[in-house]
Amino acid sequence: MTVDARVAALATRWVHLYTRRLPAAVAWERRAELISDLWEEREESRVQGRSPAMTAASMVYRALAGVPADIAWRSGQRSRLVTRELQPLSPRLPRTKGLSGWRRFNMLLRTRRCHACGRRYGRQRWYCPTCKTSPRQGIVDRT
Amino acid sequence: MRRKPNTLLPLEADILNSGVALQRSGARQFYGFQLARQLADAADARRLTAHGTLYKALGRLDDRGLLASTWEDPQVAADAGRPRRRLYEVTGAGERALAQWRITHADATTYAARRGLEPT
Repeated sequence: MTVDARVAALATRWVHLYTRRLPAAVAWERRAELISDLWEEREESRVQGRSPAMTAASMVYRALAGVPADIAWRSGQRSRLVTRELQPLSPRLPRTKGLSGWRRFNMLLRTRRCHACGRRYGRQRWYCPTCKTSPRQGIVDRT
Repeated sequence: MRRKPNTLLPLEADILNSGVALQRSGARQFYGFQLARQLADAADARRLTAHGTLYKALGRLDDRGLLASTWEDPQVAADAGRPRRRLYEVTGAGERALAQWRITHADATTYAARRGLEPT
């Protein structure tokens, strides 16, 4: 295995790593695009008679210099995922399932679980908007 | 720092410029590595744009409708014995955004001369 092939394999592993747990289509597109790029670069070098070491150096530079953008891209994709997951839900019924990291923490901090129906609602409310139950006063009749 | 909506970053403008140059040179569509090579040649740079930087910018432009992308026919790639390419095309909106960027940021001739490209 030549040095450029090794670097290409490492870059491929990296793209598999940062596309983990993303929607399958998004992950597939990014992986396929990068695999194509690595192949094209090696092929161009082969045609032009450049040494595998030079090609490897170029690929290492491109992979390493792109790491911050890769991470930012992943973060953006995860945010989109979270937004999509929350869209069908009522804003009155925040849910922590599907959230991760500080978003989950923040949601837990801002909401409380209803002792009667088990749903989460904002801490600014004094009763659960779903079952109209207050933790202190029991069922609240708003009608 | 958040940027203003409907503005282009220098890299995005370079991508659109290189894409337009490739399309004018006869290629109807272009792919990622070809674009990286064109960007490096146009800027007379030794190094190609980093993978993450390039594909993130391409994704942004695609999302905004400034580029249109399609995946190459698997049979074509299989016949050529290589992985499938994602093919990009600068849209009309992309050309208009680039023209606007040139007006806003610099005199078109100076910009093109700096990038080694023909002004439109």
